[in-house]
Amino acid sequence: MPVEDEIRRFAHSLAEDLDSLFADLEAAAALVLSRLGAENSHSLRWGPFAPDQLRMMEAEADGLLERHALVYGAGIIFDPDRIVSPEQLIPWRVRGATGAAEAYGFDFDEHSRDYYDFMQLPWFAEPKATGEPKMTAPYVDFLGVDEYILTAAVPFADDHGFVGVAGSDIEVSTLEQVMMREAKNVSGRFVLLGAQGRIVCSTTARFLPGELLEQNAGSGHHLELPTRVPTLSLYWE
Amino acid sequence: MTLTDDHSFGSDPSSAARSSSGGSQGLRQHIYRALPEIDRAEAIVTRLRDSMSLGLLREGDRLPSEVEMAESFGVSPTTVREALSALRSKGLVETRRGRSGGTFVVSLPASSVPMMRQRLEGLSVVQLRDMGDHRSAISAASIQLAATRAVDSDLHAIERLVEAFERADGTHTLARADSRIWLEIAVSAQSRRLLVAQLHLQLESSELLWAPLGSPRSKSSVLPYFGQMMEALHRRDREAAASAVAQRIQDDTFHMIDQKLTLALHEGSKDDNHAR
Repeated sequence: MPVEDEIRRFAHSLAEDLDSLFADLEAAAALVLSRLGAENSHSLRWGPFAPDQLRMMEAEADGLLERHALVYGAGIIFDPDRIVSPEQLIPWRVRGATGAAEAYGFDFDEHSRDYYDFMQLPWFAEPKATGEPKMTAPYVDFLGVDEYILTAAVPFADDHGFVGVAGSDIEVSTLEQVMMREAKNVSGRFVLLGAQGRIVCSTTARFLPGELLEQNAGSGHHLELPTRVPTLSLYWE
Repeated sequence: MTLTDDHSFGSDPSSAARSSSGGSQGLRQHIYRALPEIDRAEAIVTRLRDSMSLGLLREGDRLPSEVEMAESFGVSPTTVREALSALRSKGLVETRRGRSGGTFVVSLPASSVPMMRQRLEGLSVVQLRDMGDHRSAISAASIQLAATRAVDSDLHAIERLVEAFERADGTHTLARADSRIWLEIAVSAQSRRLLVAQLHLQLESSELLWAPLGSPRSKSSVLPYFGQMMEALHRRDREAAASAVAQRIQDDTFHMIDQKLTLALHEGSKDDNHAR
């Protein structure tokens, strides 16, 4: 099989995984909206959430972690201006040491040195502004989960406008493992790219994760992953 | 202060209370610092094993008590016992009873190819690149400071270590000789903090860099960089020194990632129906 076909086959298989992840995020966002939206429709600020409502959001996140081996953390992130209790801002779940899902606590005290201010970050600001799902380029999530990750986020809104996003983090290391497994079936070398041409991982040491492709590349071939939402692309020479 | 085999790591002559041959308590504490890893017993085994590989722990050295180690590693005594038991079964340490008892280092670890392979497989390309970036930052800063701060005796000490590296042979000796040079550069920078940072980086990277996997890192491809670094140090040329360091470490990183990718992509079976 020619290299290009092998790479296309890889692109399709990864695109399927990502599409199914976005479908699950959309389902989680829709569920939160339907379960919590009606009773909160009378006020601008949602909540405070009852224990069973928090458990419902946790269960959604846990299901996502269970179904998607790629995902490291998942949950709902509310807009701070649309919620009553700041400590309920991010019901977030991550894979624990044993592989089982566990709660992840963020720091919401504005005066703390470790205050996690996510309002300007692309996975929150862009879906908020556009109303569209978003897959970010790799970034170091300082004061978040402090890992090197990509984030996929799907916004949801009520009559007052944007409420929050259903989000999930993918560790670059995990994506790399998946790619390496698949790449055994591809005879050529190739590079997986995030937004703005940032290298996520590659099968050659010539292209290092985190660098920008344009500074290293000659004139090769580009292929966008055929996902419903723009996600990643592939480059090979 | 120098970092050759005959001298201690310590800069403080008043720290006379040594647990064993060479090495002040100060730096040695970092061997026993708290662990970030999840599998803590295994992490303790790796830390102690690497410390032996780097020559920070030597044959005959007595390790701190289980209680002391549990406290400094921030784990339970059970976890320390588990780690020591693993080291005992590898024949690296021995526990003796009685008044002069304790756990002693009895032999130095031989580089095990399967172990190195497993370690390389466990690290992602991103982590290897990041390790290289960190090494590059710490080492370039150290050599720039060394270029302005080193006196003749400092340069002489580094030179002797480079000569020792030239004579070195075998994975283990090369790894250790290479590490010693980087540590001595930090010493010449007169920076205890850079030395500690470099020590942690060497513990983490050096055995892996020189591991005999696939096509191992070659001594002869590394030597010219040391030549350039020494020349720049003698000229007190900060930029040239830093640039040689950056290139050397970039080569190291390329080498490690290449090894990693070769292992990841060529080990195991390819699809049978996949025609090449």
